[in-house]
Amino acid sequence: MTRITAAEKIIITGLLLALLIIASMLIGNYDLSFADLSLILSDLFRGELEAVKNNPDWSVLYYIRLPRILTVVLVGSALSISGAAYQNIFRNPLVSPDILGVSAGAGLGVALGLLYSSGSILYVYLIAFITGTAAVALTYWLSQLAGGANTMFMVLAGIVVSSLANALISLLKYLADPMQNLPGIVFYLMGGFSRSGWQEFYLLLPIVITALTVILFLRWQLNIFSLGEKEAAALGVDTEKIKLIVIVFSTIMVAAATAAAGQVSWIGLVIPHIARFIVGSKYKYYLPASALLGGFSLLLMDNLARTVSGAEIPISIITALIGAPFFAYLLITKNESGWS
Amino acid sequence: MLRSKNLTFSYKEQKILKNINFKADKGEFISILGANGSGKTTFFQCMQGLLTPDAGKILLNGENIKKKSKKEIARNIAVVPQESKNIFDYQVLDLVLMGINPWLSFAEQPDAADYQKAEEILAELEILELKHKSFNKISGGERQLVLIARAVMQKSSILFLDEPNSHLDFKNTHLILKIMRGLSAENKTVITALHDPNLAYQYSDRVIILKAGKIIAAGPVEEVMTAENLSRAYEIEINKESSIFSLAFQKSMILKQEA
Repeated sequence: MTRITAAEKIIITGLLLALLIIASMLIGNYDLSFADLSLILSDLFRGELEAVKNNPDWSVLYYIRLPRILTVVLVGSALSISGAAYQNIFRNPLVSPDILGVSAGAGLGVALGLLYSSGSILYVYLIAFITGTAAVALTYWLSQLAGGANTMFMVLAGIVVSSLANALISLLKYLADPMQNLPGIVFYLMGGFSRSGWQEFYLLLPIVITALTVILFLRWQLNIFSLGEKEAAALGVDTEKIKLIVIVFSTIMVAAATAAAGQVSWIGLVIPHIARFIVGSKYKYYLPASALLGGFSLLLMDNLARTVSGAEIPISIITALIGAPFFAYLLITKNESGWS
Repeated sequence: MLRSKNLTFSYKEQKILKNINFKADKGEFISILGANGSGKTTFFQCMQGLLTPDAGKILLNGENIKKKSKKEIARNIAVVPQESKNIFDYQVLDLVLMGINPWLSFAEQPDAADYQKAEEILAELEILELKHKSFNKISGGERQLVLIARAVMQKSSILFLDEPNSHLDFKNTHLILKIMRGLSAENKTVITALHDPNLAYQYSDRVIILKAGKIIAAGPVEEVMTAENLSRAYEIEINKESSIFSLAFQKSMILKQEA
């Protein structure tokens, strides 16, 4: 038997994601069959745009399902890539955007943006980025004060920062007008993609692609970085520069994902673990695998969110219900990677 | 090649290193001895440019190390850490390849020639069969060999080893030190901290003894490694005739003559 290489595993994951994207187009309250989908495709190929435009199936597909599906994939990828990057930079397999406080920080920004920025989505993104960055900086600084970049201190500092940010979010909710603003903030932060349209997608796309490219560009140094900062420095890696670049771009991604979809937890922690389990620690494979798997998993969960019950379930509930037990399973069964 | 002038370093108002003057020349094998907490590791990190001294300076090829980039330093100085598992596991070959990093530009990747070079080095150290094994799953002795292979990959002329044998058994300890001896014969400078004076005696050209951040003795092995100096360094009584040290010395003298 020949062994499947890491590159082949990534291609397989990509194909699975493509299949899931097609399947997801057919899922939902509005009945859309594979035959309907192929009809639209064949019309498109033959250039019969009028026929396509008049087809109600097309409206559902193009204006509702497609932007939503693609946004979900991007958010899933963004969260996993940043999780993977944070884990290497902090040399800690237990950190993730949620644990470092970035998600809560960005969530605070989203709440602030929704309350005080007269509704411009760009402002929401911008404020989310600022508060998200502030949160990760605070976590890092606190853990340094407490005892260096030790695994446990960083997790604990993240808990402190998350609690602070969540308390401030609660304060904003308390102060918000209960009729006008409160429901908006609550549902926004619980997460979901029902409002995702092309605007969200086009805002996210360049952010995720830029960040992914930058981080992939540094893949070689990131491998070395994971040996620890001192060892990496002794191997000639400009550790401060790499750390800054990777943290900034990861935080941009988390902030954008949070602004687009609310606080989606667990993806950034669990997916990098699965990716590493499948393709190993080498960044060249590990990062693309995280991106594809992140998109795949979140899309699967979003499909659940919109089909399990009549009303849509907030995505963060699903990711936590699946992610938390799964992580517990990982903790129990795969404890050989020098975590402690 | 590498020297320090009046090197002084403090940590939280406690002086760890006091006025250290040190010089290492091409092809020398130098051992640093000293009790726990005598400042060996701090001394190493200063000399590697990882810590900045409070006073005095470190010269690498005649230039202040402070002015050199991490990459420039890494082209000249390789550090062999104590073997230990990594948090994220890599294949042996990938880990050895990381040694080429100081010679690559900012976002450059190693090429086919680098891969071949890494395999050659593994073959020289007789561990080529490990190349696709995961680093965390091989034995401690093998891990230390892989880290040495990485240092060779780095093509630097100075090698630092901080207690390379701390997790190794008798056989692997001597294997590693013999390899280091071989590298110094190829004109590389080897600077190593050792816990065991016997090993220092057996393998090094020069020995430096640190105590409480000061050099208390330095020079050729025969001159420095006296019962008196060692008693002072480790604060234990060493009796010339009956001590375990002197017996071991006689033994290693014989080994040395045989070699």
